[in-house]
Amino acid sequence: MFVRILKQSFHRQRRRKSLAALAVIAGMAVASAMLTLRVNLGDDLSAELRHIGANIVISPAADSLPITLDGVDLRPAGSGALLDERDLPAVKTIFWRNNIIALAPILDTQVVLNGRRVEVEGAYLEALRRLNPAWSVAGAWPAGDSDGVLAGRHLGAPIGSRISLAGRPAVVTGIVATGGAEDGEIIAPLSLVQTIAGVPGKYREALVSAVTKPEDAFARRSHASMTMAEMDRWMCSPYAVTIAQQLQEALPGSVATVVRPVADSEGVILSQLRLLLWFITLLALAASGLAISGAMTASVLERRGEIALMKAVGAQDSAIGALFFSEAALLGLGGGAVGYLLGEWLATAIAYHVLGHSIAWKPALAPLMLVLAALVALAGSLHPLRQAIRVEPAVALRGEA
Amino acid sequence: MPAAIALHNVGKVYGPERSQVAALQGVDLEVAAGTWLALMGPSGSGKTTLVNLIGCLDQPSRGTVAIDGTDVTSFSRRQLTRFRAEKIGFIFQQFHLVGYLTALENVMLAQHFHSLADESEARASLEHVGLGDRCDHLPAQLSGGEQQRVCIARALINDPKIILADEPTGNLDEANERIVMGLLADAHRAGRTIVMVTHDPAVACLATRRIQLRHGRIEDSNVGKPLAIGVVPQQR
Repeated sequence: MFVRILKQSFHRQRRRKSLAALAVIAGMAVASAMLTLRVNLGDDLSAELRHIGANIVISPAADSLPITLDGVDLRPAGSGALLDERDLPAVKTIFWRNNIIALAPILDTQVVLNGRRVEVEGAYLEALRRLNPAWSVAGAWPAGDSDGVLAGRHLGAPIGSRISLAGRPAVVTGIVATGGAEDGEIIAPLSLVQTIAGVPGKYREALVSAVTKPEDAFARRSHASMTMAEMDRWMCSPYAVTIAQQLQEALPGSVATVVRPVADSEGVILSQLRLLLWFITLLALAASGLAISGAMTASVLERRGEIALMKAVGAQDSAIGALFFSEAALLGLGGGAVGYLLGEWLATAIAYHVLGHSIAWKPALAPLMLVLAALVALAGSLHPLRQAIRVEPAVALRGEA
Repeated sequence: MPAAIALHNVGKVYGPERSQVAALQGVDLEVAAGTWLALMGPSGSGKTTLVNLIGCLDQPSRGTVAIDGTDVTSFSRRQLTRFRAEKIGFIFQQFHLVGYLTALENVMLAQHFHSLADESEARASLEHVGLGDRCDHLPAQLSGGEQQRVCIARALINDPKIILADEPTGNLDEANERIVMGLLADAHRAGRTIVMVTHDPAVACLATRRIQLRHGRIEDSNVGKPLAIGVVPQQR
């Protein structure tokens, strides 16, 4: 009979229940979408932020002592010791190798071009390109081992022109515009610059772009105060400092330094974005709870006579509570299930249109969303349930219900 | 044999202490089992309050209320609800049927909250009140008289000892009034105690005992013979 009452309540009050369900679905869909984005886009957002440049710099340990101002390394780029290019494959052996998006060894030198000294920066051009997706290049990036170069836009070298770099012929394949020092430089393959500079197989520093976890208090803790378990946890967390340390251990004679302003900005942006997603999730859940509360309150007010009658014929408070809570739970679970499906679709659309990513559906979120929906239904129906339980059956006899 | 209903020095006041309204004052009433009692009196005389106390829907401010030999004065809310489901059947002037349940389901509702719903029993109860062919109709698809008969079937389904009927014919035409009073007479003949609130002296004449309430006190109580069903006065 209980099921029959429930069923009839939904069947005969289709319109009211549908409106309430729609409100729940909307709220749960937004909550589900935000949670899916939060879960899926943790790494993707971090990777997206990697477009703002390198966050780790590897330089020779024998180089001059770090000179930093406000977290920025101010050491001159062209001076000091060099690192060995042959050691670079060791980077592929570190634990966090898959978090490294790009690693570009750099060697710079100077040449005289059209009577003036020009900086020539040699690098793995593909890695450099990945490190700086925001650079504007007219023409084409040169191939790795070719004699092609990029000329800064201020140099006035047209695309296709042939230039001489310390006696080595080169072809300008593209004009680079960054708004920075590169606008007055030549960017060439690393091997070409190594030949010009007379230091084959060497590089001065390496720029690394790695997907990292925002630094928290644990990341900043002194290793001396950590237990073995904490040390393991620290090593197994992709903090920028952890990856830097592993890089440093993999490359003999190197020092890996976190570029603080970049890493910190990423951390702040990621933390704020995640916090924002949480807030939207909570607000959406609260909206669902309010929708259920509103629907149930209206239902209780409308059905005061029915509640009074049920009590008059022997319904205990618990039976009334069970009836109305079941209605709320069904609304919540039904709305939660549909809201989850809609939310997954919404998350996919947001990820694709806003971030240009496709994301995988997360079936594991479904039970979580259903539990959340049930909790929201419970919270939203507490006040209406209290109202239902307070209904005095005597009003039914008086005909005032 | 204990009285079906026994009220001793019952008083009921409503409202805050400084502005209390006495709905009932020093009411003593004993109703023997099998009595058909008509409660009469002007509006505000305390009829509803008295019915609420007898129906275990409310508790007195002072005095004692015993139903079927059980003193319910100090019963908890939960105990009162259980006792009500066991002993009392309600018939309301405004029927109070659940709009989204069929006639059959409305009767089964009382069974459900009493013990277990039994569809065949509920169907038989509706057949008893002449609605065997209207079981699957919603209240809105029934006439006022039919709705009141569903209400009677619901009141009788758990075999209560006491039937409380609040203006059972107040919203009915004469033909339906006759049918409803006939059903109440059947219940009375079956040995049930009936307490019926009515403003209609002709309807009250069917009761075996009539009580007149005024200003929360029993003003007049007399015992009479019920008129035979079928001779309910046509002109009032």
